[in-house]
Order: sequence, then structure tokens, then C-alpha cells
Amino acid sequence: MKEDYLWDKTGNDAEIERLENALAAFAYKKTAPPMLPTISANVLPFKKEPARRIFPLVCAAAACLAFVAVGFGVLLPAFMNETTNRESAKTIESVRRVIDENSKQNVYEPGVNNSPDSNSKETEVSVAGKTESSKPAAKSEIVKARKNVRQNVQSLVYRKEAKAERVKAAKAENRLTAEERYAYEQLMLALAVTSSKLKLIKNKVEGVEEKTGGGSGGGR
Amino acid sequence: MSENEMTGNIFCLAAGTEKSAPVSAAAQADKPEARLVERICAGDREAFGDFYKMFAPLVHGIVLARVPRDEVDDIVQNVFVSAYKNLHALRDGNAVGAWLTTTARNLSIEYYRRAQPTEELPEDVRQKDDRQTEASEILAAIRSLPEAYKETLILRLVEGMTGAEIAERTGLTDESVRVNLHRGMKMLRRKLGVAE
Repeated sequence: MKEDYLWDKTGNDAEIERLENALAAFAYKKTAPPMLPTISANVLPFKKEPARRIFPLVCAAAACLAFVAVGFGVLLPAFMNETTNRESAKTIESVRRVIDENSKQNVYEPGVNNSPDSNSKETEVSVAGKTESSKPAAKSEIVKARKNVRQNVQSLVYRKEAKAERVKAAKAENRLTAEERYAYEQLMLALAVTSSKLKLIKNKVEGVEEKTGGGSGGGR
Repeated sequence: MSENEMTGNIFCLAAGTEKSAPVSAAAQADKPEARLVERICAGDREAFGDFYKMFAPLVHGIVLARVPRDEVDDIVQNVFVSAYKNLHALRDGNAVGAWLTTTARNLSIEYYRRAQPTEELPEDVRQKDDRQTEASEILAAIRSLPEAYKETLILRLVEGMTGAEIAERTGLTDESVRVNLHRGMKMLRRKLGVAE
């Protein structure tokens, strides 16, 4: 039977036998086994990596941030003082101008008909040549007038100041060069970052202290 | 047999799975190849020699189905060296045959990855031998068959293994091997132009 011969070589099949004979040249010929490699199980000594010390890194980072914060703390007030000084000088100047203007407008000149126009225009009046009977009344008037003058001057000064500040604020950006503006922005950003980092470190340190039992909590 | 079963056979041959028929624990433990594997893992080099003799025809046939004839011997040697290095990783000694066939297939594929392009010698340089020519043509025809058929046919017709031996060594069932032989033979006859 053909199929039997194909399966287990029982019986005969001429065709299959012919194929076997033809293909015998390609059959495995007994050879020696290959040279076996010498495999040695050398295990490299386990190198334990040193534990990374986080605390010194944290301290170093905190020190750097503190240094940066201090640097900004020193530089920034100096920068701000300079601008504040400029502002205050301008305010003083504007107040002086206002006072001068008001004083010029309201100076009493004998022989001239000086009539007070409105509340806002009232200023200090120097009275000369009034009768003795009207002295107390005049005195109180003078006091009132002085108060009014002071109030008006103050209000004028405040208005001027506010206006000056607004003008200054509007001009400040234009006055700053692009580099100065950039530096200012960077400064503000660095300060914000520094403060957040310091807060983080503080929280961590406080957390560590809590874990260790409060550290040096006592002794107050 | 259905196409699904044929596909299953191909996968079985490719994966080197064990026989689906249940084998008793005693029978499994008595398998000679499992004992050989144990001895080899224990450092017995003589056992490796016996192991080589047992499986060399199988590995040779698997490799012959894929690579040029001149490269077969080298690759067979490489298969056994690789097997020796990795035998300790084999979980089941009874499946060493299937594991070995997988290794042989993998190294055959690797051969083509590394192979340099070669130029065939001209006709007048090659020594012509009619028998060799006929054998080469038959071998080429078998190699052109599907994977499952060509391996089984080479193991049967070239290496001279019986169907039962093929099933035993490769881990396939007898039925699968029988189907592969029968269908493979049918296709080979058609290719060679032999009347059925």
C-alpha cells in the first residue's frame, strides 16, 4: 500500500523509493558533535549603589535659592527706591508750584478790591487797615481762611499727585528700555519662583521635623 | 481534513507544541530525551553526544528545507551549540524535540538576514551530474511546498524517518504528520508532473 509505505515503509511504492534514492545524497551524514563552549557561571559581584543622599541636595538647593532671594532682595529695593525718590521729588515740586500759584492769586494788596470768588479760590488773606472792632471776627475769618487754604492746597496736591502718578505709570513703561523691561519681568518671575521653592522646602523641612517627633519643639 | 486543521498543523510544527493526546506522567518521565536533557544540564558531556546523535537528522532535515545545501552543516552545528547554551531554560525535557526544531527554524531565518548576496557560477564551471541535477530539482520542488509539508517530506524522503518518528521528534500528532505527508506528496507529484 502506497500510504503505508509513505507512513512507515511497509509494503512498496516505486515512486517514493525513486525519490528516496535520488534525495539520499542530501541526507544527514554522521558527523561529530560540535565543540562545546565552556560556559562558566561567573557572576559579577553585586555593586550596591550608594544611597543617594537627598538631604544635602535639598540643603544646597535651599542655599542657592536663598542666595538668589537675598540678591533680589538687595537689588530690588535699590531699584524701587530710585523710582520712589524720583516720584517724591516730582510731587514736592508740583505741590510747591500749586502753593505758589495759589499764593500769587490770593495775596491781599492794599487799595485793590479783593473779593473772594469761590470756596475753591479762597486763600490766605492778609488783613491790613481793618478797624479794631472787627479784629476778633477778622481773626476767626483768617483762621477759617487758613484752614480752607490748607484743605484746598492739600486736595490740589493730592489731585496733582494722583495725576502725576498716573502720568508716571503711563510714562514709566515708555521710559524703560526693552532690556530694562525684560530684566524687570525676569526679576519678578524669579522672585515668584524663589518664593514658591522656599515654601516647598519649608513644607518639606516641617514635614521632616514632624516625622522625627518635632525636633527641638520644647524649650520655649 | 479541513483547512483549519491544516493551519493548526502548521502552527503546531512552527511552535513545536506537544502532542494533543494525553500522555501519562510515567510515559513522560520515561522519555529518553528528557533523561538526556537532565544529564546534559548536570554537566554530562557524553549525554550531549547521545543527544546530538538522536536529533541531528531531525535538525538537518529542518535546516535543509530552508537554506542552501552548502550551509546546512554549519547551521546544524550552530543549532546544537545554541541548544547546549540554552538547555537549562527548557522547562519540559519531553518537549526538547519541538524546542530544537524551533531553534533550527530561527537560525535558518537568521542565516538569510546575515547572508551576503552571492553570484551563481556560470554553467560551464559547474560540474554537471544528471543525478545531482535531478536530486536538486526534486529538492527545489519540495522546498517550494508549504512549510508544514516540505519539512515533513524532507524528514521522510531525505532523512528516512518514519511518520511515527517524525511525530515523536517534532511533537506533532500522528494524524497531523499523516496528513502532511499525504497532501505534501500529492502536491509534489503535481509539481514534478508525475501522474498520480
